[in-house]
Amino acid sequence: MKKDSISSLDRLLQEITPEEQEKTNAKMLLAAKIADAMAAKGWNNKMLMKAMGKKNASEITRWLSGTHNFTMDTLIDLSRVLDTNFLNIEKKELPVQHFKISVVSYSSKKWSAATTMNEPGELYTSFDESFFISNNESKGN
Amino acid sequence: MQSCKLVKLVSLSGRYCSIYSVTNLDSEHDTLLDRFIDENVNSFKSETKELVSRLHTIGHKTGARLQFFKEHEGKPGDGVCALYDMEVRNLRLYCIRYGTQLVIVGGGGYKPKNIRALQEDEKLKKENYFLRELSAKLTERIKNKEIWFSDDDLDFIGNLTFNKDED
Repeated sequence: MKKDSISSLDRLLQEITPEEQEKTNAKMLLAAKIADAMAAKGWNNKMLMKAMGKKNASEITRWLSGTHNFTMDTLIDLSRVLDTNFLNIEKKELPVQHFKISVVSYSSKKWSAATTMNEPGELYTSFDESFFISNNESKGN
Repeated sequence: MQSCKLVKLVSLSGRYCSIYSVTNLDSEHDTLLDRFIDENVNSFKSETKELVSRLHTIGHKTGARLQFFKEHEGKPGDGVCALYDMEVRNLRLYCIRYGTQLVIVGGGGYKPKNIRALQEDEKLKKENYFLRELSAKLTERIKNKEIWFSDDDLDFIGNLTFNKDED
């Protein structure tokens, strides 16, 4: 027994890079998502084979095994027949940010300011003299 | 059957599935999975890495979903199956699957393209039949309540050592 040395398993695990592991995770999670979408429709492999216009059921088995590198075309077709988005490429809507600004001083000199937050959602704010004038005027009213 | 013990592979097990292998008490290798790696890592490096990587994903991300395994590699109902490697599928790694939460990994090897049944290859036959025997003994112990499952179904509890030639 090699009790004192690192096991062959742990040595091999050290050789698997995070990027390689991530690819395996993605392939297997995608296969699981396809199987879940099939289950939701009550479909077996043969039904998916027919819907995808395939002639060989072993191809579906391979897709579900989590070893397959899907083409974009196949994923688009799978998304259509299984009513599930396997691509997630839709542009994400930025959340609306609500905030209040208090004007503490005002100069008639024309100026503008901008702030950018480097965070998800990337909030960008700019305002210029006209904002303060209208804001001031509304306050005066 | 040789004396052996079920051991949990902590580095592969996660919240979705526990991966066990078998320590052969008469062998110089740590577990059957270690032996499988030693036997194949030089000739089939990427396939061997892929199989280990897939076991890690099963433990930590997906659980042992049936779709990831080739079924019916043993006797009916004994849970013996094989894990796929990459699409070319040179290697067979035999396992016993207990639902999605427990997998016992045994040995395996290269499956030549010119054979259909595993029985045509002595090495594959030996590895496969060992797991069939282990599955039968494990089932017997579960029936006799010498081995049972933990509350979260992620562990075997009880006497996990199997002595040579025991009934």
